[in-house]
Formats: sequence, structure tokens, C-alpha cells
Amino acid sequence: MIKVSGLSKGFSRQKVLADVSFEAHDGRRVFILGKSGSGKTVFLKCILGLLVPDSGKVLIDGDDVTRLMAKPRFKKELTRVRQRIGYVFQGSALLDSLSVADNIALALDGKGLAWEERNRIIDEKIALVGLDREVRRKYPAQLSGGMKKLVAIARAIAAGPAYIFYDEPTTALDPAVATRITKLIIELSERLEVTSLIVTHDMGLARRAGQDVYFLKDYTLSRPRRTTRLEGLYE
Amino acid sequence: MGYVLRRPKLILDQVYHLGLLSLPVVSFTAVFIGMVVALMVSYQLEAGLPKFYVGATGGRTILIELAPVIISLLIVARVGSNITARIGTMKVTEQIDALETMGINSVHYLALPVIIAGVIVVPALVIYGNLISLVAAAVSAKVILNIPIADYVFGLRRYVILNDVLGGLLKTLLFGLTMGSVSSYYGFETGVGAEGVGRSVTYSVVTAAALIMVIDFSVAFWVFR
Repeated sequence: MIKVSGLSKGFSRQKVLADVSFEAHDGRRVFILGKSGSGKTVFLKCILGLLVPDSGKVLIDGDDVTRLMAKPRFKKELTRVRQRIGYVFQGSALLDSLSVADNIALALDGKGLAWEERNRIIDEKIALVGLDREVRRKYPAQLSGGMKKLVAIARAIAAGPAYIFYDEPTTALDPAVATRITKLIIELSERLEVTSLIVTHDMGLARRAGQDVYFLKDYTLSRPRRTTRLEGLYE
Repeated sequence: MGYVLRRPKLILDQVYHLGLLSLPVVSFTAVFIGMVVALMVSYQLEAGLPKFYVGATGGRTILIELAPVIISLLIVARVGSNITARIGTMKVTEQIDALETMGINSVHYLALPVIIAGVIVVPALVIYGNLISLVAAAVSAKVILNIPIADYVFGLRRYVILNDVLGGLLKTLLFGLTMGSVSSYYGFETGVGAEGVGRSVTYSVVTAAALIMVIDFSVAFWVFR
């Protein structure tokens, strides 16, 4: 379970998040809707400890991420917490210099897996997201935007995380790929029994795949809404 | 450090990019360093001085100062800028965040291999450049100035001492360390967007070049005074 309480974050004099509290229960698909620039990505990065919040507390399965971030000596513990989370970045964030297989293998780094086991997991995850096996030798520059996103999802699930964070998973994708990714988000959440935290401005995606939906506006989150009651949120 | 040492491929990749791919430009530059030194030393020698002084003075100038400094500056321009741009672009496109979320220390993964490779590669390239420059100086002394190669080699062997070679190499170790550290640091400090990457590259090259000059003076002060 992820529990956020009283989280605030700003950059210089620009307030981004103010006193945000939030809970994501195990196994749920939790959506955070918001306009571009409303602070959705900042919120995700604060949960992961990639950004240091100005105040507030983030607990992941009881581990206090904000405390672990505070001192370098907790780096290993923070790493262990992060390894329970797969993150699908908005721009996919695949390492340009590595092949698809090596990008996915990065998530398995340090697990001491044998070469065959490593390759088996890579093939399994590539198949799970619906890509051909041939893609494993390609480099990110040789892939379309949709394929990059699917590889990013394969990388996020490679290490068997308990949580998957998606940052604008359907942005800048054609409708067919967006639909495919929407189905994949639902399928992965059910098949792998992971908790999914999705930040997006795509209300259609939230309506189709969401279970708990929050709206980020005026630096804070609304109460959770049902997916049938999302009309007028952006007005 | 243990992380990198358990993954030697990370260092070998950098050795290849920093070292082997720099060989053509280092060779080209070293040839001209040698030729210019032979001409300039000959020009400055007063008439009547023995010709082996071209080997003695030219050789020492190449080994102590010109080859280490010019080749290192060249590597900073060619490789240091590339490292900063690569790490900076990775930061801007969230690739560094991706590493951190997977539990990989981005400094260990990206910066340490570059720093270790810098310490290995810069001295190696300078040793290689030294040899090319000395040969180029001998050939140009013979062809342009009509100084016998035997005289040139005599001057070199008679007056160049081990301290000259070691002092020059000590500089290059420090230059390699500086190039790797500074270029990585500015890569990680990159701000937002393409403009941020460009600014980081400029700061990286200027800072590394300036530090090379300071180190050059410091080593000269302590070793060659």
C-alpha cells in the first residue's frame, strides 16, 4: 500500500503540490487525472524519491521513503523500495546506447541471475507486452513511439514489481496503440496482481481502466471518484 | 567502485570510445607537434650550436609539455564534450531517473567507468602521441633541416632523462582524472532541454581546459623546478 500524507513540493517560488494526501490500496488501478503542468509527474517522482518533497511523508508498504531519501546511508534501503516499483516514463526513457534486451536486463541488474534465466525473463516480458522476439536486438532509435512504450512497460515489469507507475502512458500515441496499452494496463494489473498508479490527462483512459480516480487541481488532490462520474472535471 | 569492477564491460566500452576512436586525431596532431617542434627548436638555436640540440631540446619539449598538454586538450574537446552531452541528454530524457528507479546508482553506472577509463586512456594516448611526435620530429629534422637522424637520436638519448618522461606522464594521469570527473559532473548538472545540454558542454570543456592548465603549472612547479 502507498500512503502519502501532507506532501508539499515547489520549485523556487513556484508552488506545485500543497498538502497532498492520498492512498493507493493493493491491487487497485489508481488514476490521477490532471491538466498538463498540474504536477502529476512531480507527484509520482516524490513518491519514488526521485524528487525531495518540501514536507510530508510517503510510505510504501510501511517504508518511509522521505526518511530514506534524507540520508545517503539509507541509499540501499531506498534502492530496495524502488526495486518493488516499475516505472513507465512519459518519454519511455530507454537507454539509447543499449539494445531492447539490454534495456530490459537493466531491471534485473544485481539479481545474480544466470544468463539463460535472464534471457528467459526478457523473452517472456517481450511476449507479454505483445512484441515480436526479433525486437530484442533493436536499439531504441529503430523503434516507433508505441514500441518504445511497450518496451518500457516490459522493462518496468521485468523484475516482478509490486507496483507499476505509468506517467502519461497513452500520450502522443495513435489510437490503436493507445487502446493496446490501455488493455495492457488492465491485463497486467490483473495477471500480475500489481498495484497500478497512472497519472494522465486522458480521461478516456481513466474511464476505461480506472478503479479509483483522483483529480489533481490547484496543487492538491480531490477525493476519489468513480469512473462514471468524471464529466466536467476539466471545466 | 565495486559495482564497476564487477562489470568491466562498462569500463572497456569507455576505453574503446575514449581511446581507440581518438587514435586518428591523436596521430594527426602528434605528427604536427613533432614537425613544428623540430622547426622551432632549429630556428631558435644560434648558428654554430651542435645539431643534436634539436633532439635534446625538442625531445624534452615534446615529452614534458607539448604532447601531454595538447593531446589532453584535444581529448577534452573530442571526448569530454561528448561525455557531458551524452550524460546531459540522458538526464534531460529521464534515462538517469530510469536507472535510479531500477535501483542502479547512476553515478556508478555512468561516471565511474568514464573516470577510470580517463585515467587509463589519456596516459596511454599521450605515450602513443609522444612516440609519434618524436619520430615526426626526427623525420622532419632530417628532411627539412638536413639534420642526421643519428645526431637527433644522440641528443635525445644524451639529454632526456627518466624524470622528463615520468613528469609528463604524471600530468596525463591527473589530466585523465580531471577530464573524466569534470565532464561527468557537468553532465549530471545539466539543466532543462537542449539549451541546458549545450550550456553544460561549454562549461565542461572550459573548466576542464582551465584545470589542465592549472595542473600543468602545478606539476611543473613540483617536478621540474
